[in-house]
Parts: sequence; C-alpha cells; structure tokens
Amino acid sequence: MSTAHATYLPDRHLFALWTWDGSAVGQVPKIPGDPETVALAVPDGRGIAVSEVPCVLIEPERYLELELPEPGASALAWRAALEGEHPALPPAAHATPNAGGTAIVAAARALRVLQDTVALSGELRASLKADLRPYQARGIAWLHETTAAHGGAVLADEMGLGKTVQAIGYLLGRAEAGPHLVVCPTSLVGNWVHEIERFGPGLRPIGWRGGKLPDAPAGTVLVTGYPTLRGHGPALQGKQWASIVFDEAQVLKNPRTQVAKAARAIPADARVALTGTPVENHLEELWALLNLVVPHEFTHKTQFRRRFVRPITEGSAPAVLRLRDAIEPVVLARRKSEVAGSLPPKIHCDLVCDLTREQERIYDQLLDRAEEEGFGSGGQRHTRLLAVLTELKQVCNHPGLISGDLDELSGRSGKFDVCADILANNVDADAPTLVFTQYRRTGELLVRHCAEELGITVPFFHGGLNQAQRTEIVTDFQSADGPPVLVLSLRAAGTGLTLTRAADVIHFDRWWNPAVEAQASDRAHRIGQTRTVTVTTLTSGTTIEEHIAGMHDRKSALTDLTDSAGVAGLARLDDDRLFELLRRKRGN
Amino acid sequence: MADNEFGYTSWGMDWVRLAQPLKVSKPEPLLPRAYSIARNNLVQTEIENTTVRATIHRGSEASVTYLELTPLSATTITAIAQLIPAEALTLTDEHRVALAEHGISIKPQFARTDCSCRARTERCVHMLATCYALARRVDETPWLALDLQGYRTGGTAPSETGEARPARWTSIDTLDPATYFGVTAG
Ligand SMILES: [Zn+2]
Repeated sequence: MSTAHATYLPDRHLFALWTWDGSAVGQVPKIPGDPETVALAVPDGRGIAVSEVPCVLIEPERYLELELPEPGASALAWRAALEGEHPALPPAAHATPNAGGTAIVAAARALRVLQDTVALSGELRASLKADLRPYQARGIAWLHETTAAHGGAVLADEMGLGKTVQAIGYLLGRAEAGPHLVVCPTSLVGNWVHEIERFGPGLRPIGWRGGKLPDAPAGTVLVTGYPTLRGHGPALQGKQWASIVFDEAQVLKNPRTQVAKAARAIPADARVALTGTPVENHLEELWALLNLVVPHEFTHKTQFRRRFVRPITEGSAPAVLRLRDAIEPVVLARRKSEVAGSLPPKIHCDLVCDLTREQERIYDQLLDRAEEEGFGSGGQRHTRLLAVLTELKQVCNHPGLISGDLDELSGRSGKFDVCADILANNVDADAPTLVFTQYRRTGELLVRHCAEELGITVPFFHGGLNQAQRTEIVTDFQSADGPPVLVLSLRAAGTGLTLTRAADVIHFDRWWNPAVEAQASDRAHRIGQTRTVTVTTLTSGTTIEEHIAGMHDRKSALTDLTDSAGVAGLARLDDDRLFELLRRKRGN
Repeated sequence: MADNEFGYTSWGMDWVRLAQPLKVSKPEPLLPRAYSIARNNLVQTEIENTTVRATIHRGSEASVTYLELTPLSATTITAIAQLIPAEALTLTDEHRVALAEHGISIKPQFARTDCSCRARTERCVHMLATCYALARRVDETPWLALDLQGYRTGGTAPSETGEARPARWTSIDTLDPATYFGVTAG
C-alpha cells in the first residue's frame, strides 16, 4: 500500500510530500501544489542513499489544512509539530541531505527550525510590511539563530531573492537591542532608507554622509555608503552597534584596503554580510567575508588557504565538501533555481539610486536655466518641455552626456555605478543580461564601460542597424557561447525578439508607460524561458524619473510609445506646478 | 622538514611531534620515507572514536597499522568545555594557547600501537607515516584532535558545564532502513 511522507526542507521552509509504495518511491501524492524533484535520502534496497524524489511542495502555513491521503508517520509527526508539540521525527521527516550526501539534517534541528520560523513569521506579520516568501522567513530566522550562535552571518542569496527585505526583517526583530548600522554602495543609501521606511515602519532609518553622527537611540538604523565608512571610520567606531549589515559586501574583498580595515574595526554585537556573488567561486573573497563577520572562527588566512584554497585549486573534490561543511553553519546561499517553486515567473527589483553631487549640480543648473527662459505656451511649450525633460533624463543617466566630459565614467552617476555593479556580478555569475535604454549615447557608454572595465565585447541593438545586423545580434546572443551582456534600445527592441538566453533584464532608464517596459522585459520572459526572470529597474531618486516611475504605480493608461503623451500631461500644468514636479525633492 | 605541509595548525603540529619529537637521542632514519608516503597520500585512514586503522600500499606490500589513543579524563573534558564554546566551528590556534595557559595537556597519548609489518620497532615507517597523515587530517579539521581523544565521542560528554554541542547533521551511515519511516517500516 502506498503511504504519503513529508520531509521538511529547512533552507526553503517547505514540506516536500512524496509517497512510498512499500518498496520504492511512488507517484506524487494527489494534492494541489507545486510538483518538483527534490534530492532526499531514501531507502534504496541496500541501505539509505540520496536520490531524486518526485514531490509536491507545500508551505508550512498550508500544511494543516491539507488532506493528505494515507499519511505515514513523518506526515503525522509534522502535523503534531505545527500544533506545537515536540514529536519524535522518523528519518523520513528530516531526510534532507547535506552537500556531500553523507548526512541528513538532525531531527532536533529540523524541528527547531520549523517551529522558530513559523513563530517568527507570526511575529513579523504585524511589524514587517511585506509578504514574505517561505525561504525569506527562513532567512530571517536563520540570521537570528546564526548571529546568536556565532556573532555573524553571510547571507549570499542570489540577486533578486530579496536579501534587503530579509535584512530589514532581521533588524526589526532586534530593534530594541540598540542602534543599527547599514553600510552599502553609496548610490543605494537612499534606496535602503526608502525600503526600511516601506517595509519596517517600526525602525527609524537615517541616511548619513558624514558630519556629526546623529543621535541614534534603539531602533535607529544609520545607513551610510562605503566611501563614508572609509572617511569617517573613527566616528562609527566610537559606538557599540547592536547590528551592522554590510550590503554588497564583496566590496570588502581586499582585507588590506582602508575601507575593509574600517569595517572590521566597528564594534557590533551582530555582523551580517549580504552578497549576491557566488561565494564558492572566489575563495579568497569568501575568506575576507568570513573574517569580517566571524573573525574568531576564520582568523588565519594562511590556514584557510592551506586547508581549502590550495587543495581545491589542485582539483580536490573532498576539499570542496570539507569547505561546504566548514562554512555551512555561517553561510546561507540559495539560488533562484533552488527556490523557483516559491517564485513567480518574473520578479521585480526596483532600485532607487542616489544622484552624485555632480549630477545634482547639473540637474539644478538645467532647471535654473529653464526657469529663466520659461517654457512659453502652445506648441512651443511642448517642444521646450520635451527638450528639458530629455536633458534631465540624460543627467540622470550620466552627467557627462550633458557636460561633454566623458573621460572617466565611474563614480559620477548613481545609476551607472549600480548598473556597473550588477553587470560585473552577472558576468561573474554567468547570468546573461539584457540592458534597455531609451538613449543611443547611454547605450554606447554602457558598451564602452563593459569593454574597459569588464573586458567584454557587448553588442548594441539599436534603430540604426539594418535587418541583417539585427538578426545577427539576436542569433549570436541566443547561441550558447553568446555575449554575457546585450544592450538594447527600448524603441528598436521592444517587441518581437526572442532573447531567452537571458534571465536578467535591467531597465537603465524609466519610461512613462509600464506596458512598454513590460513588453521589453518579455524579450527574456517568453516561451522557451525555463528560469525565473529578474527585472531590475533603475530610478534616480528625487528626480523627474521618480515622477515617471510613480506614474507606473498609478497604472497610467497611456498607450503611446513616444514621450509625447507623458509630455503632454506635464505641458498642461502651469509653470509653478511644473517646476515643483521637475525640481529635486530634498530627500536623504 | 620544517614546512607547512604537515602541522600548519598547532593541533596538527602535535601529531607531527609524535613522529619527530623535539628531543631526540638519535636521528630517525625512517622519517624521510614516512614523510614521503604521507605526502603522496598513500595512507588510508579510518577513524572510529579513539582508534585509527591505517592502510598503506606500497608496490606489492600492504600493511595495516592500528593506533589507539588514551581518552581524556572526565575532568579534562570538563575543563576544556569551559574554555572552548560548544558552538565553535573550528578549533583555532588561539584555543590551543588558551588550553595550554590553563595547564590542560591535550597532546595525543597512545594507549596501544600495532602494525602488521615485520619491523621489530613500534616506531616503524608505517606508524610514522600514519602520524603525518593524521597531522594532515587534524590540520584540515582540528576538532578531530580532541575527538580522537574521546572529547565528543567517548561517552563522557561535557554535560556538567552546559549544553552539549547540538548536532546539525545525522550521518546517513547511522540510519537504519528498518526504522526510516517510523517505528515500523512502511
Ligand atoms: Zn609497520
């Protein structure tokens, strides 16, 4: 007779339900849910071995209402566990194997992880304004558990899985423990403040760019950029922080740099590093991160090299497994493919990037001039406004597009720097990426940056190409050894093309009409795409781009594919109202 | 032979010192060969609690060496548990120093050694090579240095001083297919 079994998957906070027909794994149980093949340790006739088992995945929240036919002891034990009891778990209930396939999660730990994560989800329901996916709830519980045991943790989930919301959920749970510090790329300070306000209204975020350190009572989250940390380390070191979060922590990969030294010297009860880079591919970087967050465990670089780096470089498979065992308690790294069942086919990641001082200056100058000259009225008003809007959007993309100074590209545009980081990361992670822009010259800058900084040749699909050139770019990109990045003009490439080798899409600038962006994103997300597509939008905070993005949120019904409909809306406003919209909002 | 091949942690160095003690009355002619055997990964070690079974194949010859270590006393285990947190992932050289400062000796002591070869001495080339091989394994996983002396494996868990280290994983080898699904198979 066939019985149904439930195995808890701690890293994903899901139950895998499967059946056993008395001598072998049977067909998936007939219940609604996501079918997936999961590696589990099951009897194989001689003993117990890891094998790919067809399962249906169920969230713990839905488990109790489930009517499972012929439940076995494991299924019944988990039911009892969710009802608050402490049942004895048979191995089938916790048969999730380790990396080496030599062990399964210990019963006591599986039970504790489930109950802690369920309890934490309940606590956060009131305070965290976000619907957590199961693996995210687990990530937050894991951060609590790991920092309590070891003082630090590395959350290395792949980009798009929501490391920021997990970090905010973690900080919410520790709000009363004291002041917290978040260090991130300088262009993302405003984004962090914004996300904390949005997801964790119980926290008090303050963007800090140097100067006198503000009062920081418990519940404050001071958000600052890496350059500020480098320049103002002593001010930050004079305080005991309840937690410190290093976002994009691979920035600190070289322990001898000033910024890495400053980071290590900040006293904090809990130290968390967030990174989206595949940590196992860069062992020296991994050591730097471990030394940053758990220095008492990973103290001597030479020993780490001797123990792991050298044998792994020489091709030792046992050393790879030893490394996984050694870091597994303090590193949680989930890939999109591993949690795909919990993800929609498309995930959106909207980043608000800060302007640099140079961008702010030029943006304001352009508006001062426009205000002096006035927009006029009638058809002239529309033309002038369009010209000013175009210039403002160019400043948001890169100030050199207006000033003409394009010698050095980095460090001058918030969006450009954030995009450059994402591209470097995706190239490294072997994740082909599409970048859409409305502007030919912006596209050219991106191509140039990729050549100069990443050493890759990136094609540019734009309206100036003939049909044969267009076809060649698409065919090349879709081939297995195609280029890692493709830059596209939004207007030229918005429809028709199939570019499913990419599962990552970046919108470098914002369009009035969300349908246009969605159509472009669908170049990757269309028939033939088997992975979750990550769509990242870049918006310059406090600028007209935020207004444009805001129109998306209001589901503007515009269908026009040119700027004119959006411009017409603005042109109808009187000058006072118009300049109020265009002027930078004083933010963080 | 002062290099970082064996004994690059102070825990591994204890095992190197078993092969090449600091104070020697006469030079040990077998050491270079033993070193070379271990360096070329010719020693297969199987560890069960405080006993080690080492197999060495060289050409047509095969030998089996047994080592059994003297378990730490319950007093020593308790004292160690007060200095090394149960959740420590890796034993570091700093832990080793802390133990030494508290006068706790954790140098491995043999309870018994035996080798299948015909050498008349206990310190045959196989025993020496096994010491090097264990130095390597201890360097890789320093907890093994204490576990080989029964710290977490000998049944005298440090219970008086707080929680024992909670196990994160259960070895598949210890699972019984008959009870995999519950008390009764099905
Ligand atoms: Zn011998």
